Amino acid sequence: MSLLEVSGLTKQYVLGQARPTVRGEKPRPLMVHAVEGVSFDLAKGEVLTIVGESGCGKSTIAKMLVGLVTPTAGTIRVDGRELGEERTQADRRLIQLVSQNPWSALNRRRNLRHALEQPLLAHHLGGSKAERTRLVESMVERVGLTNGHLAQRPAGVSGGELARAVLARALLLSPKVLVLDEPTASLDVSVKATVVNLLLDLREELGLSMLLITHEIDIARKLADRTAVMYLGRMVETGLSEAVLEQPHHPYSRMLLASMPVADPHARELPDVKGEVASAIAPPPGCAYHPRCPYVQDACARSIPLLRIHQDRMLACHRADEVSNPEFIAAHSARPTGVVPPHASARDVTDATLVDEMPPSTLASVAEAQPAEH
Amino acid sequence: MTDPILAVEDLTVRYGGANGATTAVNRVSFQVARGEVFGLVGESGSGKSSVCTALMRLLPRSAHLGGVIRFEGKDLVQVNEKTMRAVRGRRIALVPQQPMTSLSPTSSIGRQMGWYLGDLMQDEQARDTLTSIGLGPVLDRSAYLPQGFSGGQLQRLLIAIATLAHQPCLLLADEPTTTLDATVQAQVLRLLLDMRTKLNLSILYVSHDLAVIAQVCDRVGVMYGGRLVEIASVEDLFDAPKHPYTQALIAAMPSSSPRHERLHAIPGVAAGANRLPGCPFAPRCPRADTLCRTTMPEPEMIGATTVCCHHVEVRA
Repeated sequence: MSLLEVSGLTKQYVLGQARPTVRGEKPRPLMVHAVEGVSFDLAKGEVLTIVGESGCGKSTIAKMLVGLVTPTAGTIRVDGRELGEERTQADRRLIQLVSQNPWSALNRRRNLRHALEQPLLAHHLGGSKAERTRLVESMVERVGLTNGHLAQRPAGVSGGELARAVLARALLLSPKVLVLDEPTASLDVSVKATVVNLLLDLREELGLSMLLITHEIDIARKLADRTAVMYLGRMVETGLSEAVLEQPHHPYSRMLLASMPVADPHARELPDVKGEVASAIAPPPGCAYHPRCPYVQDACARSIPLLRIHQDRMLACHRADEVSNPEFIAAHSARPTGVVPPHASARDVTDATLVDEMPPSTLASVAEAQPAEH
Repeated sequence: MTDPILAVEDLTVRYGGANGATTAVNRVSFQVARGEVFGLVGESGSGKSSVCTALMRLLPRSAHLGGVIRFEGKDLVQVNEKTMRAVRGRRIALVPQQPMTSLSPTSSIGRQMGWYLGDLMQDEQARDTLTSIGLGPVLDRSAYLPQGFSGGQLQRLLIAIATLAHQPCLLLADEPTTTLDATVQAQVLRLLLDMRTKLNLSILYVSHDLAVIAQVCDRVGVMYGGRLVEIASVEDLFDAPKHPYTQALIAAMPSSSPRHERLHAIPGVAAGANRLPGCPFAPRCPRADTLCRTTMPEPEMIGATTVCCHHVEVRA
């Protein structure tokens, strides 16, 4: 049985009232459709990642899971227990959040020891002062900090150390599910690597279930077993990370992944991205992606495609059969709407032959080339 | 390099402060050729934005600027503010990091475009150019304030203002896509490269994102603790990095190690590196010895790569 079950989760924010377009008409409420009917589950020890661009609703899902935002509709169950609007302390301990920005997540005027003792005090865990100190200190060690860090205020430690402290604070309550909202977004490359390593270790040691919310696909590739791609409040593609992140089928997933720059100067390719994300106040009718989709047909504007099982994954697309067929995609890409060839470099003019001779390398070949450098 | 458009020699930027002066940029030298995209990559605090600000002479009054910035027959470190005004925005243009905070929040977009683009706004051809770079929706709603537009639209608008208002030959792009989503980033990067081709611009592209650097730059300088530790062509930098920091940085990228395996993190922290007498990377470097801790290595040419390291031969 799944540890976390989320079904039909929906959040709409009422902004105000739209002015009637016709005289005498009643004003309609102006709604932001942040999350629309999202369902997923998470097994014990599993890592699920939700990827998507800003405004697609991924952070709203995190807030609803931990009870900071009340869903408009839908249910959240952990271990078979439904978590509603009124949650007991025990309920709240089940899911813990690691918030996006570690700098704003802690009290700047108190030291880290104070910050880490707070959850224990609030939840009446660790009976005595000595017991709390023991719990805090062992957790601090587990995330790779020392007792010396505990005496520091947030301003006195580095971004990576702060990220660890915020993680330790969430783990102190022994949650069943850890929700990580962009845990590495504000960190430098070298520091990011240490935090990702820590998450890999914790996953191994504690068998934690994690919901990782990120826009960094390379971090998702590293950590996640399964991946869900969101666009304008809905999941458009879910499945094993190997499938979704390596061979995306949904037209949006394809474009999103193609937009991720590859750290290989021999594989230069910037896709020709059409249009912009539509407004969540007035999402396009039917499939929200249809105005930007190269494979659009009449049905796409008429009805919203449901997330259905298709081959090895779930896909929300009216043309699921065609978009998962490489031949169909290849035939379409020949048109000017598809991905254009690598752009010209300044040296191409003088050194055209050199560029032509370069073998087309892939992400994998970069990975292989690295160990040789040491 | 024959006839570089910009030649920076021993550029030094020092900021005063309560705890004594901080050297943010320490004897940085590089050249940018005509039509070239030169990347500056480094982590936060490495001094890359200070280089950008120094080139525009927009440093705070308390900052100390030293060295030589050779641009169009002038030394921009020495020239007076009046001369600088003829260069700033006209010969050297800047694309800022945060499009949202770089326009006036209380004036309509149309009015602000009028300030910078002037008569161009009436020119049919110029309007066509703006539409062709995806600014059609912005022109249609020119009575709106900047907050009515997305970050991607505003960043495209700022690039249009920077490149079309005057005829700059050098564009400074200080992390222009850091606050943008991946798909919008792709649009903005394509626009920058299109502008480069159309106007034969040179671009100084500052970023912390190695993947973006790999996609857009021709040559790259790597900064650490205020020092430029390596300059190489983008292919050499990724295929055969010479400086230990560059090697560690490229190895630390998530794509450099197989799935579900630990990343090659760099031990230690970068904080305080710019105060060290020797090589700034010495405390974190596996090859560091006493010499590294006491003396800053001089730049050394190895093939087409310039590298500052005492032990660069050891590896080869």
